[in-house]
Amino acid sequence: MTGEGLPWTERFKPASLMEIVGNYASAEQLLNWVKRSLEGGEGVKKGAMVYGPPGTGKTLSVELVAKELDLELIEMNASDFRTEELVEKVAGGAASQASLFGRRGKLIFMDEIDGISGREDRGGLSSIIATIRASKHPVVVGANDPWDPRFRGLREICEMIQFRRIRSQSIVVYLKKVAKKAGVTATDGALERIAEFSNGDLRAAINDFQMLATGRQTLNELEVRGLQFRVQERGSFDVMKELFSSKSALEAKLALEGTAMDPEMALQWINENIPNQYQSPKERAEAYDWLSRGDVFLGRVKRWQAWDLIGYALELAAGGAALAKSGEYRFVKYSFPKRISIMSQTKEERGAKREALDLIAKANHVSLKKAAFEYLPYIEIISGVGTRRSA
Amino acid sequence: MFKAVLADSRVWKSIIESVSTLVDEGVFVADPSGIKLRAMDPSRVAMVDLDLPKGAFESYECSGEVPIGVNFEDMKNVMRRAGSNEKLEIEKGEDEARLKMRLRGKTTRTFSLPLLDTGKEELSVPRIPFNVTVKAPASTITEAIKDAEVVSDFVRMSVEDGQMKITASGDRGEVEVVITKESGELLSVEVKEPSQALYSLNYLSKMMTAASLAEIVAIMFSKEMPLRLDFNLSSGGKIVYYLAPRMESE
Repeated sequence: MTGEGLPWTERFKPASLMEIVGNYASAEQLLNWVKRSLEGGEGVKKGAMVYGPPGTGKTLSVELVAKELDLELIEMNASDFRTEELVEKVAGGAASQASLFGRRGKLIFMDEIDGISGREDRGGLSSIIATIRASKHPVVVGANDPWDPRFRGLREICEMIQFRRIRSQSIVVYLKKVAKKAGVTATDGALERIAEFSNGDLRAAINDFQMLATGRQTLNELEVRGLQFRVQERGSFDVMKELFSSKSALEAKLALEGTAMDPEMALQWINENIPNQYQSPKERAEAYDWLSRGDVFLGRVKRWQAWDLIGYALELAAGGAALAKSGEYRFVKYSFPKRISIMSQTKEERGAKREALDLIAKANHVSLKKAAFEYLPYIEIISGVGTRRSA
Repeated sequence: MFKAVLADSRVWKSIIESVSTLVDEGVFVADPSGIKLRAMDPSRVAMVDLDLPKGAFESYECSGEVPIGVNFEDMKNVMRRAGSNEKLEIEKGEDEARLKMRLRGKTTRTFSLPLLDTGKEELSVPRIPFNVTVKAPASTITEAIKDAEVVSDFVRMSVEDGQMKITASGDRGEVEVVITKESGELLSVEVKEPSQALYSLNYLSKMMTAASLAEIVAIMFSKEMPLRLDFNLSSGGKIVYYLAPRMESE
């Protein structure tokens, strides 16, 4: 057999779009978009964004679409987007030239754009947008969390193609095929457990299966017992949905684990979304009450660097927010914490205020806090300036 | 075991410069017949194909196939230190993870460079029927490209009626360079079919770095197809570049 040493995810990789499991409709949507994009019809979005959790077939679909349409695939990932020049050099160069090998065309795929981080990469993101606008070839970007506010400009010019977590029944069917090809006899129970624990990540399921089955001819339920539930990084909006729909404090806390959100950010998200989730004053009051208790612990964590208290902060805030509901959970539209954008909008104003407080505190030999609460309000009234917004 | 000696270190310097303008890292493959390198630029729009036969070296020893993965920027920095009248020895011992580069002049200086473990990608060169082949002094083409860069970032090459035209137009104006056989600047023209195509100046000017190594450049292309530039190095060996055409704007 060929490819003996390859990971099974490579060795038993689908060879055509027809074999895609779970997200076939999304792969088809991508295929249709690329076709329309090549024809250059009216109203076709300039780019496409394939998004969803890891292991759901995003990259594979792009590869297979390129194959199906006989396009040369130019793949790039986060390390190619570090700077504006790099994006221009690599993506920009690829976007305006025809294929070197005389193929019918090219498909440009920029994967893992979530990997673009921090301010220094802002240039990278805006030149990705510029590249998509100017490109003579279809450009697809791949992301795990498309709702990241940094991607807003990108979302506007992209056809959004969602890849969902794959249902475990579909994963089982696929694992059975893999088992057959690999010559492993596995019980249904074993495969079901692997599928269940993969949490909709087919790549993870195949990797787990290979790990467990290596060097064996058979695999049963007992032998997969050691498998751990896969905790994946999920998008912040999914986390909110999971958190508010929890039926126990533990479940709510688990929703926050395995996310890229730090605890402070998590509390911001809860804070922002309590009024979205709850309409009745009673529920809101209850949720905020628990959130505030969690925040007290978070304050202690930060003040005393007492990281062992972090569990209490999360459990009280998340559990309390989730259990405040008096009826059934219902899905609402969650929003991104406004605090961050407000803070950045008022950065200059706050800076100026801070400077003023420094002067006042120095001149009067008082603390900054005292200057803010006891001196500044009067000065504002006396001078007739300022907003009379308390600190 | 691999060891090669070049009588003039500046040749290697120019070779590295002509490769590094397009590629950051790559794998030289040395075998008993000589050194080869084939690499694509990161955007996969341009390719360089270098062939230095044994005969291009003052002395050459190589047993078996030796892959030598290097960072060209690092190697270029070493070669910047080379003076005129210096010999260059390149050496890689059995199982050694470093490449020794020795400059022999008034003093003997040995640089050791870490080798990259780059997975070898089997690249095949584009197989394209070229309808036009022209030969011209490399310096003439370099000048024409510099002229075009004044007004644009891409250029139209066309060959018709035994003359070559390099034209460019942009917001900054237009330029037309005509190279004819009569002026002696067009050394040969073979036309199966009159052709023209657009190419990015950014890549072309990088490729013309190799003009310092060869008197003559052969240019091959077809309508809206990739371009090929051949430089037969005066010191022996060959550098070939391929460049994908720029797409015409609608």
